[in-house]
Amino acid sequence: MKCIGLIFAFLMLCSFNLTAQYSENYVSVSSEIIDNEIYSVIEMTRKDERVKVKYFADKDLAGRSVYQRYLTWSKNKSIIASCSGTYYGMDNKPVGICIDEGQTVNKAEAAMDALVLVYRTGGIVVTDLKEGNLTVQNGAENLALNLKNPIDRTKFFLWSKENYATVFQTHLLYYKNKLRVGANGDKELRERRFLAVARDDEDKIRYYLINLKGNNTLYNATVKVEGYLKNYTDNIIYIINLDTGAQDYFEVREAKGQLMNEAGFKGNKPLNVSKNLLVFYFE
Amino acid sequence: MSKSVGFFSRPFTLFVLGLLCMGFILLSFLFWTLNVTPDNYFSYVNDPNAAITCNVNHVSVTSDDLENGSWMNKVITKSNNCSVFLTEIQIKELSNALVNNFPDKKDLIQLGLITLLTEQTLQMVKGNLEVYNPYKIKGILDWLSTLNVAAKLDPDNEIIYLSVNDYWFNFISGKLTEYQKINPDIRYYFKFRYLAQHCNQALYFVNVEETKYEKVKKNLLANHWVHLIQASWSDAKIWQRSVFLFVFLFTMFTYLFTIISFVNKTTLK
Repeated sequence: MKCIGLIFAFLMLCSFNLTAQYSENYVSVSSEIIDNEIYSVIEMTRKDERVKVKYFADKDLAGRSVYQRYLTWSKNKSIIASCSGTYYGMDNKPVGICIDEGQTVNKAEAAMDALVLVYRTGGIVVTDLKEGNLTVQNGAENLALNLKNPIDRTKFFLWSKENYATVFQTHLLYYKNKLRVGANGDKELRERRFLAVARDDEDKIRYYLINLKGNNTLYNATVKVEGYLKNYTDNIIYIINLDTGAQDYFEVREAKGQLMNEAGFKGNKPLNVSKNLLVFYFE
Repeated sequence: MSKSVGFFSRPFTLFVLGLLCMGFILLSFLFWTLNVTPDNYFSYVNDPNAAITCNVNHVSVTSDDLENGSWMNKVITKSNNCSVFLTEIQIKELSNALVNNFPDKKDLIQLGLITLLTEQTLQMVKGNLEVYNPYKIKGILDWLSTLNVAAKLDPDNEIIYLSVNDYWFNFISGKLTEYQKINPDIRYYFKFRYLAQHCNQALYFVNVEETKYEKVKKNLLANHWVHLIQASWSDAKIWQRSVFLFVFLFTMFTYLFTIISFVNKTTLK
């Protein structure tokens, strides 16, 4: 009987390790101190498209919370990191355009330039709303849309419903080799978290999730992160802001699945009260 | 008589009267600050259907006008008695007439009508919306509700109604967000809350931001002391931190001094 119990426990341990793992060839987690600032960085390559992204923006139609949805979905998934995405207003609704798998959460455009599209295939694309040149896949053909145009906006919402698109809006801090945030902007000093996307030497897309635990203004933190990334790549595609204010949810897992306890890899709030989650996972 | 004298001569009478007065004053204060007095706020709003009597002129529109977009100026009646917001009947009439005359240019007509009912109309009413005016906004929302119904009844022109509805709701939601940033007090006014709720129901959420005072109050009520201290410390300037440290150290020193002198006294005894 004892023997059966031991075998069972061993199998449970093995299955846990099997389900919660990612390859370190695709993901690297590191901490660096530069000028007294701790840079907590999760670097992920999109080579072979094994690293994917999923976004939970709101309760589903059955009324399950974001965290409940995340728990159900994440079974048998190898989670790399989970963090908050966009900002939420006083009425607990996301600020700016937000669509969760085709279900519209908020149609009101906010004064933020980045429109983030999370594809069902796990890719993430950012477009500059000011440029008005969003291109989406509509069946076999591409649909070019300018969301400043009323008819294109309607077409976009119809497209997102038909294609179960997931979309949210946030601040675009760096785009096409240009800083998009001014030094005279928000002066609030706080912890900052960014998602940066760049191309590596092999022309493959790399995601960088960077957390600065020290207190920085949005501008200072962006300049620091830009400088940090330029040590590794000349081709930064964009940097967007992730909320660390009221929505400071952040969890990172090691390659074997354990949660990291270092301060730079943890948010101030537990995931189980999250209102929105941007999840990076490995398949 | 004797009962009445007895009541007023009792010691708690003044206390009860005082409580009643306080209650009355507090209630008045509440009504004044929250602006929640019951009233028919929107009784002065003009009926948007009043414009139905004004005819839209579409007879003189030529093919060239359609191409270069100049037809929009021709169809809008500039009479003072007419609303700049075309009714669903006028829109349908105009659309049908233009499509009948130019059947091969349906897309161009739809695009033109959407531009006419969104950007062109906005140019005409922009001045009225520079400052917060709930009555004007209520008028637009009433107009939109008629278009929303029309979208279901007129499938040929559904894209027009949907686009116009979306444009104006997005605009109004943005404007309400802007107004409450300029004057945060209006977010507690009944009229503002009514309009914001209208937008929220249509899934165009008005971004009501918390002021610093509201954030502190919320964290105090939720007992988030650690967050409150961390946030206050990180937001504080150097002189504020210095003052805090000085007051803190001074308080600690006085406590310490008191304890030491107390201990010395008891030891001496």
